[in-house]
Amino acid sequence: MAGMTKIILGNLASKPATRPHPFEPHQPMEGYRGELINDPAVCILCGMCQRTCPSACLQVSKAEESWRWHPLECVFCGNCVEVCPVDSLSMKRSYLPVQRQRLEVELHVPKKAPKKKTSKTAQPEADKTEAEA
Amino acid sequence: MAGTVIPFGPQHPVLPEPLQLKLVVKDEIVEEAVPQMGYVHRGLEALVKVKDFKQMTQVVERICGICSSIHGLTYCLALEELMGVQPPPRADYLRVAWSELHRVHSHLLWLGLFADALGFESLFMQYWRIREKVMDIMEATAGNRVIISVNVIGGTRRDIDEAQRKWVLGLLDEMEREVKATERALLHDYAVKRRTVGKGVLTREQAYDLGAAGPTLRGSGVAQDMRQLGFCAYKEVGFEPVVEHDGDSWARAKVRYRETLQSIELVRRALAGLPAGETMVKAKGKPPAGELVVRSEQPRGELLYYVKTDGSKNLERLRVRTPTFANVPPLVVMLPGLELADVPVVVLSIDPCVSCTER
Amino acid sequence: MLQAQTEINKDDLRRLGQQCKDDGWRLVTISAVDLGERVELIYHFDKDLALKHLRLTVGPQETAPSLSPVYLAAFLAENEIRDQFGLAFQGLAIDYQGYLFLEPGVECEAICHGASARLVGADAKEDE
Repeated sequence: MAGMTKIILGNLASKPATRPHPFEPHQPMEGYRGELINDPAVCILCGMCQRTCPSACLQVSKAEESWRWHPLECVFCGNCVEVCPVDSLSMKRSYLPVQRQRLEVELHVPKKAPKKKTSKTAQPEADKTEAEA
Repeated sequence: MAGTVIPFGPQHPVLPEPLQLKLVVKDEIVEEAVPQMGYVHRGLEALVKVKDFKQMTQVVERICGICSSIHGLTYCLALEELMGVQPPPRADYLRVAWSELHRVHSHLLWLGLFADALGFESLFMQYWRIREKVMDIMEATAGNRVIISVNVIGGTRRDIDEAQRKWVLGLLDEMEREVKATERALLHDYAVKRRTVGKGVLTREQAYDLGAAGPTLRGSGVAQDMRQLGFCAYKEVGFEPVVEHDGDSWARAKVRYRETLQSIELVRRALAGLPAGETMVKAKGKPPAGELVVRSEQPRGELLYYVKTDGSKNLERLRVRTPTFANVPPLVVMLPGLELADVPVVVLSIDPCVSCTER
Repeated sequence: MLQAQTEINKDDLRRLGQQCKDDGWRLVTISAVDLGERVELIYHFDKDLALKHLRLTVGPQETAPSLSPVYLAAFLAENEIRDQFGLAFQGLAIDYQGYLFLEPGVECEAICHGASARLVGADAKEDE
């Protein structure tokens, strides 16, 4: 038992490895894939996030001007954040807290005016992505 | 047949995985063992019809939580070869680093469970305490603790910058010291040796004929490890398989202990030799029609992926053969002749991972 | 097309399997692919890190010979193929009769079309 005794004495002499949660909650590190947030001012409702999602937890509807996210089905993989063409999606550094009610996030995203390109063939971005959808 | 049938599992305090073994026992000696599976079958292979080949990366990572990154890596290697995409060298080294970190955390988890199965709770807690450092490294470098999701077709999504690299190397030194300090308690303890030496013996011929994989095979003296194939950056980093010759539970524990230390060293070498450059190459289009077999090495053994594509964005067939699937027949051969009280430790010594086995 | 593959018949399977075993090849696993009415079995062998494959196609309403008399490790893969594809094997060392994953009396949707019709003794359910 000599091997273990030394380890135990060393552990007794040093500070505990556990954290007194919830008095000192764990702060996730930089780059943690936490809660998903969408900026309605930037989102163009193209639907790329919906197509990439492996767990089908996003619903984007241009007609209803809405963007829905089901956090209980999300696997927090971060694919949607990577494919978003306008970078309106991002992941917070904290995870979703425990909820009392089933949480479903629905955002009203107003339709943006099509951006005018400076080139001659000004096909607006909104129309192009509508054709893709 | 005369004898009592004792169902061991799927729920049992000492069994970490939902595998049922019907043990036919006579006077405390096990005569026969019949495995029964199916408690966590999720039908993930059938999801290829529904999810396209890029979404399948996430599905495949969730076959197992402990070795998830290596499932994703093998899948990405298969599709990269089919699509003719060559990931950049920096991605290869980073993939080696993350895979070996997974191996470290999986082996530390197993060493803890092994101690727990023997009743040695303090050592169990000590190994998991060391393992927390690896989880912190995963969280900081890849964004999540368990299912890190860094492998994509074409490379890796994340990068390790200079400051993180130094921090990781510092933590690796601490971990190596702490793991080495446990050697005496784990491998040279009188009670541990009495319970594991000579139990669950698998001879070299039996291990080879029954198709054992991983430490189960290497603990019986066969020096075979899929990392010798040299995928990713294993050739550059340099690698030799770890072999023991006794074939009993103690030999398998020793193989895993030595592999933990070897993997820490491999992570150091991979991070030291990181070439500069991009980490990802964009993979465009769909995979062409064809089929492919790719193999890699999980902590538990040899992993085989058979991928068949037909040119559309859904794969036609994905077949995953996980190492525990290969290790269950040797288990069925190992158990007869043992005393009933030795069964949990021997079952644990093959490192079962039933969520991998049943997908 | 896999590298190092050979197409074989049902009758040659055990003989070729014994040859592989005598040459020192290790059975890695057996994969099954659904080709509509037929099921294709691919046997993967390994020796010193090299792979070779044997391909066998089994028609509808046929059973396949089991490799477990030669390689005992094959019994688990073949029972799983029975569960998922409904293809029965003759001469299995340990035969679960299609109930490796499920209990008797449980209905399921098998991994491939037409497998429910092939499952012997189970209640078949129409595939969507």
